[in-house]
Amino acid sequence: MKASENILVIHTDRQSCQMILDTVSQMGHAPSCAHTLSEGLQKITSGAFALVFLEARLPDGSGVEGIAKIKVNEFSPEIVITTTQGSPDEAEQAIANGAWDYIAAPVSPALIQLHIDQILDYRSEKGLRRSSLLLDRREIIGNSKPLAASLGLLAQAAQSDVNVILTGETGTGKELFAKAIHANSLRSQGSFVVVDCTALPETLVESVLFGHARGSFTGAYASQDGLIKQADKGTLFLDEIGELPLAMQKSFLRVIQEHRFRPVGGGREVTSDFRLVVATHRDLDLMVRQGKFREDLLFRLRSLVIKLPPLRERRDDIKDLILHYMDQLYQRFRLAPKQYSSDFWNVAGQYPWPGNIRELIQALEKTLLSAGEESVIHSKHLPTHIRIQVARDRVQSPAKDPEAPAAQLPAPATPLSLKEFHRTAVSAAEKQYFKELMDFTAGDIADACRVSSLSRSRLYALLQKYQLLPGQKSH
Amino acid sequence: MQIFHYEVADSSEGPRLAAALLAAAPGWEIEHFTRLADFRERMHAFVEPDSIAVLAAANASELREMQDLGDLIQDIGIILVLPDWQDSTLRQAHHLRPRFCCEKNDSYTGLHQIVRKMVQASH
Repeated sequence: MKASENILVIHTDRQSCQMILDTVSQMGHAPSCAHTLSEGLQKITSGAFALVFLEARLPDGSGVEGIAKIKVNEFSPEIVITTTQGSPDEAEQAIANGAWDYIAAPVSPALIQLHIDQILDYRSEKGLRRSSLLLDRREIIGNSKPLAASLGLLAQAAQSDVNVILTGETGTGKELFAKAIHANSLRSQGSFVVVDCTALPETLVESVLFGHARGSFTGAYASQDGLIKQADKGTLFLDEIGELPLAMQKSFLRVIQEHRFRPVGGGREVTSDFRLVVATHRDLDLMVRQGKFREDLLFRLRSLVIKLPPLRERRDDIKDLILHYMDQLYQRFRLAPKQYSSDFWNVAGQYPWPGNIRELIQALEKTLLSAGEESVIHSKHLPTHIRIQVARDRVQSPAKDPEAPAAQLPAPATPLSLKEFHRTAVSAAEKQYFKELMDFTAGDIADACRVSSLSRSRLYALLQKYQLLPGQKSH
Repeated sequence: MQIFHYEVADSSEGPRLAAALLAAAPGWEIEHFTRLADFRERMHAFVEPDSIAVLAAANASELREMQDLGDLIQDIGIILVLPDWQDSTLRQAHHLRPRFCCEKNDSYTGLHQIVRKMVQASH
């Protein structure tokens, strides 16, 4: 999975510009465009761009000469010069000035795509090297590729002061990332101030964020600084910003732009030098289209987007995560460390963890409760719904399992009819399934009915057919 | 979800804060603690997801002690009742990543609304 990057196109010709923008969008990145050099330079100062497609000759100046102005930006985006009339001298000057490449017409979508891929791969590796060397990762556990891509962006975010949006499903660790950005930034000595937008009732948002003057409403016995002021010299983290009431979004936009605001009932404006990090599990673009989120606010926020991968896309990290959180839980519950059986790792590794790391931690707590004094943790100690899900998935996609019965069928000397082959394969697969089912449920018929979704009478009939009832000898 | 309330035994705020919590979460069994050591001990046992702890710090020293709870309360929604609204107090408070803070002589209207919303969200 590649992280979404901001890519800017500075081009006079609207048709060429649109072609590049479309290609960028189709590749899952965030495109922006400008039609003059000055407009482009202005956009670069307010966003974290990884790449700029820059036309060589623009109405208000030379793109080639503008390279230096772009490279001094804190994100130092790569620059590809595009031109309708290529010139060897201009190409030499562009490369000497630090451009990644100089491409002359015709510029096709395939060529654009190739440059984007190469450049982002290069930057991603560069970011990863930097992150692995320098980052204080705190509680961010794992070394999978999808996580490493997010950590590379975290390192970029920590080295700058731009606004950051953390996106990802519930439970993917957005607050941990926000804390790590703060801890690795120059503001780490300031406060990390959390605004939980899901917990704040609409009536309280304004006074909690902006603070209030004494007597501004019933119960306001004294003036109080709000959270924005409390984040002065530190980081303001708005968790679930999608829940921020629409009416508040306008006021907040001004705060982001000017870092000035007026407390509720206050006569004077107050300033606050905060760095903004926001998180959401919602699709803010969709909310903009639905009129539930302000487009101008989203534009301001989207300087750097870090998408956190769901746990199912970073299965390589599951073992490390389990070991880490189990260690924490042993300490918390004052338990001696336990061992883990292979069936525990199998089930934990196969479950899709839709609630991500939060669900994993909760499941581990329940697993420890269930294991009690036992020294080895087995899959049977995991919450039942997890075991059921894994058992159902195994049955629904047996071909994914290399040990699946169908894969073990011996090849007949003379090919069977297709119907006969089906019958034999299904019988072998069913028999294997019911063996595993009875092992999994330790022969508990009620549990086996629940896992298999079969009625008790149907289950008995099939167990009898395959000679798997207690007392029957299986062949 | 479970609700915990810590407040030192001789706090003058005690009945008011407990009453505000009760009104915000009617029908919920709130676990009350009057010694921080007892609250810490409770955190060593199982806590349901999305739980809330309303912690009233009598003074700056007690607020520092609360920070020592560390990992034990990292998955709990913390609401802090602070001894004052001084910058130094607020800076300390943010180490606990509270969902909401108010001062001890507050009307608790805000606290009431926040707890009510968190309780409703847990259903």
